[in-house]
Amino acid sequence: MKLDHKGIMVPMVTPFTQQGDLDEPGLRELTNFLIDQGMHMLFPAGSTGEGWSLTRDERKRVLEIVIETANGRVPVYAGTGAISTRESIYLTKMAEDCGADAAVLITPFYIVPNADELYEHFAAVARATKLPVFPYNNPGRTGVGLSAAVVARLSEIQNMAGIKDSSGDISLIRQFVEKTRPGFAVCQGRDEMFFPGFVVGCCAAVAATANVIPEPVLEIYRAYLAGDWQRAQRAQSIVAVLRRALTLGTFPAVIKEAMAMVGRPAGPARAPVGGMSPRGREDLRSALTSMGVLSA
Amino acid sequence: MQQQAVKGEVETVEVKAKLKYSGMMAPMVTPFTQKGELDEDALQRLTHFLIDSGIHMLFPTCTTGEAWTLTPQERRRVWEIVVRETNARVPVLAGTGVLTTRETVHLTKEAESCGVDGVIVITPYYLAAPNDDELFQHYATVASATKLPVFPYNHPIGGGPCISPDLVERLASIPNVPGMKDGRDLALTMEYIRRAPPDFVVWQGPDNLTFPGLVVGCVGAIPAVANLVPEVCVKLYAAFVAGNWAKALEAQTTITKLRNSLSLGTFPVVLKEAMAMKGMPMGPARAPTQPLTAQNRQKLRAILKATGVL
Repeated sequence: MKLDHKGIMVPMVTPFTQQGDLDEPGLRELTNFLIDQGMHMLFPAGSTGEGWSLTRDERKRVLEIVIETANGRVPVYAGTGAISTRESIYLTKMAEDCGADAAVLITPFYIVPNADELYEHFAAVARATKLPVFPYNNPGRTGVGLSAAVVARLSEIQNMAGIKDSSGDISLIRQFVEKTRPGFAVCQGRDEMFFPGFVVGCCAAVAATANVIPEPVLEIYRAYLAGDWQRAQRAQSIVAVLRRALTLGTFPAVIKEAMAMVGRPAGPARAPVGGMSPRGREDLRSALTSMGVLSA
Repeated sequence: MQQQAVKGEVETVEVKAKLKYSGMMAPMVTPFTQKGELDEDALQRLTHFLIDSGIHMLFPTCTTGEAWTLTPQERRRVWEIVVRETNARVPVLAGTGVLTTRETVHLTKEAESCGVDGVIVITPYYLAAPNDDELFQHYATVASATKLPVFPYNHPIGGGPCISPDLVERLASIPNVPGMKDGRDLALTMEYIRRAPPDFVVWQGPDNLTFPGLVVGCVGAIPAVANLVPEVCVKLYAAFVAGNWAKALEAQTTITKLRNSLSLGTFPVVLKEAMAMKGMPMGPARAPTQPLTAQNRQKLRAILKATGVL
């Protein structure tokens, strides 16, 4: 499939049954729903998809189902990051065998590699696959940050296709755009900054919130393309309300609760992540109501 | 030790419980071949070396052992070898903590079937930054799935979860949670000890706090450099028990100098390189961790000479 990495990419939640097993029909339904809504790219087994909780076999099954259901209608970017280079390569090759179109890899976490080690980590993954590879920078979560200098070096690798960044640092994102080759796809991962991301040169938004409210997320992109800043700001402000509400519980429990509230349940998050408190649930309901997603 | 100060029946029982887990525990490195596979022969040698050096407890598949790089099958193999070679001479406590409750339960059961004496369970790190209730449920679920003693391990990194003193009180109420490891700072360790019941054991994690930890009431410590200089760690403990503070502090100073040298590279590669220099090669650390630069290798050699390791 010809990839342009443009538009809205959805880091899909992974639906589980009440027993905590993979909900395969639920995953098919979610895949079809997101494509029908007009999403441009799907991204299963990422952080929002609780990729860290999946065994190798479960991750494979998730990829198989999403790829089979998408059936070439939109490209599938597979989450394949792990702490060690060895496991990251294993998962990336597995995704390639499953027919994924690209691989997105969180930086190693838990340990703190230096800049050279980070470079070599992603370079080794890129050497091991033909897929376009996207490093994913989320220093707030991992304690490990990719600098503009490292990303610039990485962008010289032929199948290093772009980067996903959730640092929330717009000037860093701008540096990624400036210091890399033309066509290197910089993707904004912070939901409250999609519109700012697009205007400084991001080609895509990676929207966890699109699992719940696909329409306002798409509206940001459409308005951006149309040059209508007022419409873009309006849609962005709706998305930002939900993004802020995600802190009402442990990530990503709130996204799953919100999906249940809008009538598309995806089951519980896996333990140790628990459900929300009654108070948190009430606040989430008010947030969704204020956004016009639920009626009062 | 404390038994000299014991008065009355109740305190004797408490001290007995504590004695079982007293002393120096070695968080074992995991030896790899140059190709990055598990080096079973070197693991056997390391197990014997540590026990022969007087180490009181072994802790395989820990952070120092790069447990985050091991597949479930590799973890199991490590436990089988260490349990077999130890042959009940010292307790073996297996690291079984990972990101989800589900997988932690699975690994804990695996470790139990390998014959380990207990498990040490790190707080779920990375994305799931759970609250106190979630952490309690996590440990309660693991404890209910095994007959082994379960020791929570507080290791707040990268904004990850930190076990609060309130939570320690709740965790101590679980029958097979007899103690924990603290990996942060002395003030928090003191608060844990103050709030937990008297028979609850606390081990000190950071190498630099081995001696201070014992002073504030830890029953033991888990210094990473025990892989390299187990005899110095054992000497520190013996000096503390004997009330020889000067000697204990001298050993601590050596341990601290060695621990500080570990920042010459990404953890735990420096420890492995130092062991190789000492004639106990443990192979490379798994990527993304890379070997030391030539310059830092020189610095490490100088530190090892200055501390009498070489």
